[in-house]
Amino acid sequence: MMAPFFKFGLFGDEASLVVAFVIGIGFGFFLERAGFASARKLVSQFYLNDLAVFKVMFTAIVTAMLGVTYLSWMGVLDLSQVYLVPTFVVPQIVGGLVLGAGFVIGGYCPGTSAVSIATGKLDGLLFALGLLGGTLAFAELLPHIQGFFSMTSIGTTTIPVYFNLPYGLVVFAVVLMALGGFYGAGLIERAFAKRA
Amino acid sequence: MTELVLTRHNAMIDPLLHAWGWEIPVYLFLGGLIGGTMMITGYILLKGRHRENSCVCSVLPLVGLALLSVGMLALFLDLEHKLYVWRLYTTFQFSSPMSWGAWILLLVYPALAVAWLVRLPAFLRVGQVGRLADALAESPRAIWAIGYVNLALGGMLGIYTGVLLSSLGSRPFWNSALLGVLFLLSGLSAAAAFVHMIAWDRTERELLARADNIFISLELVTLMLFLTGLLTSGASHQAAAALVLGGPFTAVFWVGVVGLGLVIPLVLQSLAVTHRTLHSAIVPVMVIAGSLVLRFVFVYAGQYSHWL
Repeated sequence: MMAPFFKFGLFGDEASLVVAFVIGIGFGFFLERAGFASARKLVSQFYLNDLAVFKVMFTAIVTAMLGVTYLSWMGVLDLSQVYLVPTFVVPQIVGGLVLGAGFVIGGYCPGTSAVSIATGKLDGLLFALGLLGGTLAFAELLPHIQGFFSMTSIGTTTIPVYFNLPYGLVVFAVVLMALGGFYGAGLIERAFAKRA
Repeated sequence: MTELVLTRHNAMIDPLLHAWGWEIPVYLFLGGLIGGTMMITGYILLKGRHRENSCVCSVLPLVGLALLSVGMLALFLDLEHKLYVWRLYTTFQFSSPMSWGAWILLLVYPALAVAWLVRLPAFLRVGQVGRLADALAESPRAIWAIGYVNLALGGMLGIYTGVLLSSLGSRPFWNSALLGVLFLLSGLSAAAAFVHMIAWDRTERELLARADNIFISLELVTLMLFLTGLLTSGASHQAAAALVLGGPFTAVFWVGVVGLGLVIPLVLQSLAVTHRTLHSAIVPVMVIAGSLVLRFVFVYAGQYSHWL
């Protein structure tokens, strides 16, 4: 049996939504257990006195990356069949900044707002309503900003392909970056905890 | 007529007979919810909780009356010949679920109204109505009778909403006697969630949350038995089951009904009643929404299914 299962026809569109639901619920459960249903906990990373979000998310990235790499090397996963989002450099940087600003102002990101709703928090509900409003506004505005939206496209690519680097080397570098990041995050937390 | 009812009555042969839109699932959902609230009201009255100031039974029958009127309106909107609706009440056909339903609905109104009289608000307790309300509230026999009538009629209303579909032999997906039980349990579960959400007495809230866990568990078992029944029947029934097992209703059934409407509320509510997490309005809303989605899936998937 070869992954990605959907691409190789193990299940269809309908069943894939059920699988997505189960994965989503699992993701939400662990976010909640990590304390990410709390806006205070989440925005603490911007005040640099609690970098749990950074650590958890980077851990998730590294775990997923290593899992995908090992499965690919074992011949279980066909990486060429994994869907990748096309890259548009400037629009995605601007989008990232808008999302970050919304995160700082509202206290949540889209996923954690759903988690906070599940725990009965009204601020999470308001954030999600704002998110839906923003999505609707974006959809209405899209015809007017289509030029900006599709500028600086470099297609569907990855870091190893774009920089012509060995795949394993990039994986190793990201793992080192994560280890360095965790160490640095600990130092920053201690420094800012003293000030607080 | 036999051919029409048994074989042709599906969208693939006679698309114009694929006729039930949103009105029927909404009506079946409200019917189940009202049936459940009547049973809960009956139980509360029989337990003597109507003497408590904070008893939810002071508003529950009124809510039931309002929801019943909305449900009847949805049913009325679905009728092709609206002006002939009165003809349902010129006869009683023992073998027709629709005839049973028409008469049950007619009896539900007075049963709910009398249950509301028991805890009529003080500002309405004037004149003859006030005297009647006082007499009812002070008579144990009257309370006993009102309680049992609400329990019985609520149960009949809840079961009827399922039997209405299961009696239509032309649709394999509906062709199961378990549908009556399933819709009754779904209605009870939605009603328990609703009362859990609106009750202001902590004892009642906790009681209904615990009861809801039992109803949800039984509903899950019934749902699985229903699917097992279809899968172990003939080819037409297996094809009908496939509609929610890989077919076009799979995602909405497993995500909307089973996942968000039953399993997750059961887990969260189990944690809440054992004081490991807080009660929130999210769980009852999920249960009630799941109950509505169940009706939509069953009505639409049923119309999609056909004899092979």
